Amino acid sequence: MKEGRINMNRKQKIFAFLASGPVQYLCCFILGGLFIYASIDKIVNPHAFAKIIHNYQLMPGIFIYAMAIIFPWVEMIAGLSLVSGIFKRTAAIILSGMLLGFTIAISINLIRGLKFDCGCFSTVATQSGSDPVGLLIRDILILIPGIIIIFFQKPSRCPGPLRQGL
Amino acid sequence: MKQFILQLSAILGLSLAVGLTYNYFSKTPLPLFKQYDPHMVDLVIGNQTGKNTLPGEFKIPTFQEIDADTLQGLVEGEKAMLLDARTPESFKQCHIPGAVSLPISRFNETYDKVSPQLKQYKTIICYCEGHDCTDSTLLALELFKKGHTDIFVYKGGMAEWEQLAYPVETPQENERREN
Repeated sequence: MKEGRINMNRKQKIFAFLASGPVQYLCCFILGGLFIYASIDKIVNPHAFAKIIHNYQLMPGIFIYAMAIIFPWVEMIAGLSLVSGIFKRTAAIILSGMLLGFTIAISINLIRGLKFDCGCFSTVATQSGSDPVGLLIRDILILIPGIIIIFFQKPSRCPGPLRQGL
Repeated sequence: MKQFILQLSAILGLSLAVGLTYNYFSKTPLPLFKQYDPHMVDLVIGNQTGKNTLPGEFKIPTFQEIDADTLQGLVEGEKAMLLDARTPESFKQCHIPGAVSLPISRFNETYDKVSPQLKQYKTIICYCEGHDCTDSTLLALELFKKGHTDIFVYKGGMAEWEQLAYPVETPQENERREN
């Protein structure tokens, strides 16, 4: 009985810590900042990004240009949204979803044994391609702040259309 | 849930709007729904990075654009050779009067046939379907590789030409003229 109460307190403490302002801000800055940084090169070089999407060999050719035009801006705007704290849970869900998508794409190519450039932070092609196992580990690590924002956010006590769900 | 959908729509909608606008005003816009063309992408990347991906040592130039009014004047005065970079099927259906078909997809086969005509003109103008297509620029590049230098690209293409109600040549028009 006593042990159970201690466990609950621990859980509550962990939840309170992860939901605390500094941790939430830190997670927003890490995830948002990374995606803002990652989007810049893709926005500047959409053709190179289109080539990277093509090299993944997972998308039909007809969608590649549309993805190269829109994806970097989703990263940029969701990243800015996260850093500024506007719609941050939704932005975190979008970015974590994208990250999950990249992770699945990398896993498929890892299974297929394909050499490819990740294009995550730079559209510059390398001779050897990216290390897929390293990429997977990195993506899973980047997922952590997203999970913290999505699942450990205190519900807003402030009423009003903008504050709600921020 | 409703709030989440609204916020999701706001972020995705804004991204879509900004992305499309940025692409529209970009120097080398990507066509939104077109089959991926590795040749075109390599050319643009090569041009942007200065690392030419094409064989040979020449630097890929930026071609001057021409508007519909100037094009009309040049074609009427027969001062320039107008080349249609679209497929032969599209060319047969409708093209700018005086244009000659030189489809980029069959450049090597068709160039030799058109070459004698090209030599009669100093200026060459290439066009394709419209703002979203890149075939006219690709054709201009191929011609540049063949040694032609005075090349212009009519970016508005067939779509703008028709929109501005300039005359077009269609099979019906040709039949009427022949009769």
